[in-house]
Amino acid sequence: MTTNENFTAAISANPPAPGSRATRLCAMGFGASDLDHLESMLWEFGNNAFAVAPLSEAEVLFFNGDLPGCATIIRRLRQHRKCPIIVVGSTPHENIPDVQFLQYPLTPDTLMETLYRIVPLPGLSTGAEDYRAEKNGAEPAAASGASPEINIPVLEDAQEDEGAVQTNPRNAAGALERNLGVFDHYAGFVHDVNLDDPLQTHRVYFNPNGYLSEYLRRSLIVMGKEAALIDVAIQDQRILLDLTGNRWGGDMNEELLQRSCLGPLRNKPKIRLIGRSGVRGKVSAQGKEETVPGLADFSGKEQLLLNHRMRRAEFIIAQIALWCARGRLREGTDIHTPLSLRHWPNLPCLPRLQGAMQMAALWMLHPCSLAQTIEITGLKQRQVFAFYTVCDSLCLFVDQPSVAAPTADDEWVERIRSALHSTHNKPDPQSSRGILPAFLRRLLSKVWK
Amino acid sequence: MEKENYKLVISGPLGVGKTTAVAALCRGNLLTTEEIYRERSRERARRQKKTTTIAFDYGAIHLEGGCLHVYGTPGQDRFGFMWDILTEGGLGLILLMDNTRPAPLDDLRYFVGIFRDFIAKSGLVVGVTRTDDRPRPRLSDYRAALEKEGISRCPVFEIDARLRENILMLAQALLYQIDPNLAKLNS
Repeated sequence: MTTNENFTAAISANPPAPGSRATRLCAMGFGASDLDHLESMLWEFGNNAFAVAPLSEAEVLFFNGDLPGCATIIRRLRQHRKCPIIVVGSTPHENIPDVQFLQYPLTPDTLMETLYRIVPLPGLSTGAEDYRAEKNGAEPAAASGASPEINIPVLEDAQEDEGAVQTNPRNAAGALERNLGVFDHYAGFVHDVNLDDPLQTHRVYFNPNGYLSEYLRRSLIVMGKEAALIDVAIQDQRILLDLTGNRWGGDMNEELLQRSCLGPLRNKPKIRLIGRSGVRGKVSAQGKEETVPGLADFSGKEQLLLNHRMRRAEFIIAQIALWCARGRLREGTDIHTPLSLRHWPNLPCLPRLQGAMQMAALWMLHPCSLAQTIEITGLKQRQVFAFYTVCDSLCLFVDQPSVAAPTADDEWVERIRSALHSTHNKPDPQSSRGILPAFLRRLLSKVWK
Repeated sequence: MEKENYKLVISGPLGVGKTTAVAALCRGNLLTTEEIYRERSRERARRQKKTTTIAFDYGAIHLEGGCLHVYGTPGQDRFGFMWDILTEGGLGLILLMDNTRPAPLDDLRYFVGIFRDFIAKSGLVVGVTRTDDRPRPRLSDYRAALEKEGISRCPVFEIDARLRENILMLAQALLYQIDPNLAKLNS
């Protein structure tokens, strides 16, 4: 177990800029190739953001989770240094308390999000400057090709008093919350962007290939109405989704599941689909069903789901999708395509999202695109995207509405927009129809909120 | 200025949680006509229910510009004469269904039949309780049954009537049904 010298050399060659303080990192137990990968990703966040430090001074410790006896070593390390630990490995560890786990393959987004969650990064000036430039209407550095665009949050306070050393973790956490808002478990940190600007819009997308949510989504599409049971094996852990009884079970707990959702899965999960009429199969990489002979049959008599949880299967499917997307959209999602729901989502049994009822009502009433939904409801983009992710994961959207729909939709949105700006919340005193909506709005906003 | 009065009705079979739902919506300000059972019934024994509503449950929410009266109908058929009286001039109906009853879909058809005229001129949401005790029929079966009765795109939720949050969701969905513009203007 050694602190890698390449990693040390690479970051030491680019010391923190004068006046800013880099976050001190220590990486332990990694091989050269893994460290190169880690190092290259950390470089993307600016060359003055991080510095290598010995264990005794480290603010964040990266540890190789694939080392034998990893849990024991970490326990011992904690006696020397109490700092946040990020374990990077191919298999999730549930027996190590209070660590962040990142699973291979590692992506810059997940790495950065994890770092932001646990430590303030005062040395990270690149993103802050871009954000400030954007706020002032100037071209962000990334748009001019100065540095790569990364979808990361920004520490405004940190940029104002650069050079100030934030050593108290409680103060640092407070600063983080002030600047980013409390981390939204489901909608991440993603900032609202100008959706008319292709460069900014690019930031809200992520490539879903390899993510657990994408495997589940493909399975649900393949199964269609025949769905009865989906059996997902990730390494040696299983998740069983009983879609008929709307239950889920298996030996994977929610914490472990969440860790598996932070990035694409390193190994493809084995998925078995078992239909109501005895259809048995597995999902290929292309999302097609392949019949697999000789698998155990599933019927009412054979109870596969012995340890089912109180939460519903649709809850866990939606939650996995939210964990994977974290306020972003799957690549290829058109924000201008009108959306319409097949039926109302079972909202009491789904993860709680702000404005979910409002958006469900909207998408039930009339086809309405994501961009229009944001405009009409006034909700944050990431909240709208999060609810879209939930509905999409449960295959609730009607296939593309007819071509004529967008024209009608535009008219409708225009009508709503004019209503918003002219007679917003002003009931017509002459008409009882005007009094009722005002009363209902008061009910919604004051009593039944 | 004279206050407008509005009415909301909660209905469903015996012991489904109507009284609890009215209490949840009105924050416990409830006038109820509960009576102790004097007859033996297998259904009652199964639910360990000692009282039943004989006229109606009532709660009110006073707000600037109006008052919302929330009524819970009695669940037993013999008090059915109350149902028409309670629904007159109502804004909408929250229908609670018990999934552990012998034929919950028949219950649904029965109540939809009774309140058909009322539903046609107001709004409807359906809350299905005790799905953890018995998962079938599924929500899709309820939706299909409603479609057959000519009611489409109606919210159908799995709920726990003891949870105020779940009852509030039903009420919110009903409000969006009654006035679809709320979804757009409530920013």
